[in-house]
Amino acid sequence: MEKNNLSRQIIMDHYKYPHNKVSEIINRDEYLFKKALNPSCGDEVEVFIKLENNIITDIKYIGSGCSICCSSGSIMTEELINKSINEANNKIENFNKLITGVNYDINLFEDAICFEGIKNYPARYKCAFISWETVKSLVKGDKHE
Amino acid sequence: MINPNKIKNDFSMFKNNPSLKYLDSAATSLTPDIVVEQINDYYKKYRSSINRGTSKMANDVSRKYEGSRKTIANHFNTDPSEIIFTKSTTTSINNISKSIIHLIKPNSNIVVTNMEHHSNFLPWQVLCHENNIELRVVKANHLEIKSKDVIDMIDENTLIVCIHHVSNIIGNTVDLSEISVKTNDLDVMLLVDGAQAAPHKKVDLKKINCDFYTVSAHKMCGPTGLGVLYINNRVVNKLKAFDYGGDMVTPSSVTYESFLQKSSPNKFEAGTPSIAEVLAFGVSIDYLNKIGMDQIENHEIKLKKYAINKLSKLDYVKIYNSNNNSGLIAFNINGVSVHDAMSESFISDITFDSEDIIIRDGQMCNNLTMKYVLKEKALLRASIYIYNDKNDIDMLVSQISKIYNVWR
Repeated sequence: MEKNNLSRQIIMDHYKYPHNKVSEIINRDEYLFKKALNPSCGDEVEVFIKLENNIITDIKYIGSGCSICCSSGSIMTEELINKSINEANNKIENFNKLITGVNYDINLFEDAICFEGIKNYPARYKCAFISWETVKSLVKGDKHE
Repeated sequence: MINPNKIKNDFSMFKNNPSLKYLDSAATSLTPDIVVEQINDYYKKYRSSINRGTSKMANDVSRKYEGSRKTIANHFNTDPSEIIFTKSTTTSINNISKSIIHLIKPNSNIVVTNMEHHSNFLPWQVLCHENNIELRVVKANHLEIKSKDVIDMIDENTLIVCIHHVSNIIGNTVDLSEISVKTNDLDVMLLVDGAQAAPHKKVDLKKINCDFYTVSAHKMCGPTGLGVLYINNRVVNKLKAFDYGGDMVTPSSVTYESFLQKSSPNKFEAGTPSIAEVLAFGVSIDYLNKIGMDQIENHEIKLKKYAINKLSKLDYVKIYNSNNNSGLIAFNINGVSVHDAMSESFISDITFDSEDIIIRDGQMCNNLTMKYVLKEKALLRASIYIYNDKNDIDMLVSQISKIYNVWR
């Protein structure tokens, strides 16, 4: 219960005071970007990453949606900034394990471990993963959708 | 006057779920026990096909099946030959869109509105794209479709006008009378999506004078998997059959070269139909008529007024359709995403679901209204029906306030 309360508090902080969330990106041509929708509930995120020498040197997002979607987007930007593509992919893969109840490398994460509880709410999986999934797709080379 | 508490006794769902506050009948209504029993009776007592065998049982079921069609036809003030059974409203509309392809000319156009459910928009968008003809979209004015705006879009090249009777999000009723005068004057076909109207008010198809009218059985105390499609006899000969096979053909006419189609309704009912569902829907119609369609409409309007009166006191609730005469309440809670309001998670267990309050969230299969009319990404919809009472509304309002306090 204690752990849940702490997780809840961290998630609410990111929901109310999100990091790296912007209303628009002026210099879009400097970024790779992609939009993703969760049509059943109206979650909508657009993620922007700047890649320099295979390192994510900047990451921002525009978005609206539920608390889990928005806070996960905020935490994702903190977890993936200044990571190489390989490191980012590894983190994304482990985050997917974290939210689905599969063994993962706990040492990789800071605030993201707050989402462990999602494993008990499979209906909210998409909300938690949508922004991470978008970065995975961007570093793979998909963009501007 | 309707007594919802008495009506609740007709539905085992309430006995099995004593704390259920079911406010989602616009998505699908509950089914009274007598309708479920009719389905059981068919499978347990007189299971047989229709219009095929000559046994006494088969004849009895065929008679019951046609009896059900007659009940439904009487209810909508039309002839049984004009009542076609399909799988759903979506199937009905798709079938019509395919059965008129051969009538398309290079300069044809199709008129729809930007408040249609996807099922009354996508088939027409596809038909227009595939045949390179114009799709004319009537835009809502002050959250409703004005008949004058529809009429202005219709001309002698319009093949068909496809419009809702009652909107599935806002609940507004379109005034069809002037539209049908225009379509009849120009010999243009008129299709009306009645899925959100037929469960809630008296629908007189002679008066509406359209060519097609669609109804979903599962939204009016009936079974799932059954749609009713009214096809005005005056257009039957223009249409291609939906499917080819058993029962739509005069059997002895089939040769290597050709066959003779039966007349309506058989022409449009190839294959073994949903017999149990058709029998059951006849019972649903009798059930609703026993309550009275006017009583149902009045009950919904009255209870909605009660709800709006309470909700309008909560300044953090945005209501999109306070004033219209329907049982639909479309709303949002300021600062709370619909998903957080609906769905439990480890962040909050105070949701509608947690109190067994069933409402709908999201886009209601109608992204056009969401995007172009309301300009919202998602909203919440509570819909009232015969079994709802003031207590359901009180619980809804109280839970809205609790949910708001979690996220404020």
